[in-house]
Amino acid sequence: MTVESPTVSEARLLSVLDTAVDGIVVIDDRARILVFNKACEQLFGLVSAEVVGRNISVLMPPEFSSEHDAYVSSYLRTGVQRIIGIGREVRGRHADGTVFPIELSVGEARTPDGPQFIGIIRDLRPRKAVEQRLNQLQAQLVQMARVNAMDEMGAAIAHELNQPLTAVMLYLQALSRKLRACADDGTVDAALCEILSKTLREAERAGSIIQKMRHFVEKREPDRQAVDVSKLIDEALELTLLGNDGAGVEVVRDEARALPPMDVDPVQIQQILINLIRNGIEAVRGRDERWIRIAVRTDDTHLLVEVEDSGPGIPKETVRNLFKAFSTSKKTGLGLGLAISRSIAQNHGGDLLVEPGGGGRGATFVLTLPLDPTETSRGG
Amino acid sequence: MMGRIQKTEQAIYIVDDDPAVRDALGVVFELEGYAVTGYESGDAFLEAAKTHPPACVFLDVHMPGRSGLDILKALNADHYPAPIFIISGQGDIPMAVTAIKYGAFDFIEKPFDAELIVNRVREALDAQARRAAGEHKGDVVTHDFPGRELLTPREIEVLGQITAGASNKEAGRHLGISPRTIEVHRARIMEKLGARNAADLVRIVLTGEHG
Repeated sequence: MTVESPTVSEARLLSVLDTAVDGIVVIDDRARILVFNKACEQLFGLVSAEVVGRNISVLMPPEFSSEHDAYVSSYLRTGVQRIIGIGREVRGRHADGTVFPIELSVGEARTPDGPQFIGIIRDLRPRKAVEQRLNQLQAQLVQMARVNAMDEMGAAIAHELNQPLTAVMLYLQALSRKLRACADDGTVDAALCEILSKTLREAERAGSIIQKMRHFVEKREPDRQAVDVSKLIDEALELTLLGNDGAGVEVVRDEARALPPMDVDPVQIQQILINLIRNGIEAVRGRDERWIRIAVRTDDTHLLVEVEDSGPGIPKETVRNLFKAFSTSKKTGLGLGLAISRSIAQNHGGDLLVEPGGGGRGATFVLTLPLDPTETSRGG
Repeated sequence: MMGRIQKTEQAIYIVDDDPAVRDALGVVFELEGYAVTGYESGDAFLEAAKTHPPACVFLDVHMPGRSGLDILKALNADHYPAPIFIISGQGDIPMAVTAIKYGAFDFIEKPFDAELIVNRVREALDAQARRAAGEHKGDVVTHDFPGRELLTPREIEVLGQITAGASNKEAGRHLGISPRTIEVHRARIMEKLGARNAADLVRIVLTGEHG
């Protein structure tokens, strides 16, 4: 008895099938498996010899398998394609019962033995895992942004109200001192002093409410640890570009070699970087040339992170209030980003400055951080 | 009231980017008979401060452009003749402490009490006058000791008070600064001289031995 040796083209086909990374399965017009390649064996935990000749439905979870024969015969009868040539996401069933997502594309071959169908199967689990991780990251980012915005708004409101209130109290106190002197020598009704001191008391009460609120949202002291700023920038870019806002924007990195590790609060500095990168991306939207450049260098005392964009620059009248809370030129947002960023930088003993550009040049924001934080911010 | 008005008006410079705070603080001191000038930015102030030193300065620590700390540095505040009060918000204590290290005389927190700041200024100026009249001489450490060259003039004054046995409160009253600021100086002095505690500090200064 001689085994028929395969022809050249058969041998080539078998080799192709078994080399393919994707699962490949061929069935006939009655949905019986004719070919089941190595990748399929891996995917479904079945050996080719076990499944060849059986109905393809053994690879499907019950909700598909019960319908499948009907699909095939309906196609053969009517010619209406439900999956052929389209490809879609369906579920496969492993021999151990595990159901998993696959991408299935199906082609049809007209053969002397009648129509046959070729399915190419890709395991979607790795891609799903990546998608899930990205979704999680994004959710975290949104959550962080929301919490930050609340904190920031509270702090900013407290700060901004504190200014006029400080002035009000000083005016009232000045008035009260003056008036009391006049009341003492009888030129002014003492009742006026009484009213004024009541007014003052109420202003003080407002002040103490603000103090409480301030206390509640008190800026955290930087939680410092040794940080590689390059890495922070990597992450900030990853997080920013995640939102798809960065599509079509070229990011140029320009970092001095051997940057020293910085003693900073990574979350807070991250927040500044994300803010600057986002602003940059927003500034170049709709421009012919769209890039942002992030450069890091050091001078004698500071590390400098520059974020430059190819946008139109910042108009003079905007620059003045750029870092003030609640002043924004954007349609959305509270105008807190830069105010908070600067106060974080200053809390670290550094600063956040801007070269507004204009006249064909984009804006450059410069974040400076002291190389030796003990020099400037450690309390006694 | 009359007695409080100075014969020759003493000048006070107020540096704050918030016009209302600047004006209100100005009103308080004008009513007390001081000549007040307000500055919106550090640069304008620096120019005036270098050519015409006032009797006293109020400096907001948070300002756009040059920060209060930059201004202290630019002014070489350690050796500036007029006391410089730092205006700080509640959350800015670390910043205020840093400002003291850069030579600020003392700090006051917003919102502040008019009575209190007027008194603080008066005490500071009185202490300044006593200093000019040489009344501090008795307390000031005059002899040399290891690390003396590291200390600022103000720190040497504070050290004189400490080694004379004054509490933070007493030292503060004498020098016209708040006890908390004395504490900042004390910590700074101990750090500079490598003293572990107050007794150590006294020994270093009096015997010249290093801790």
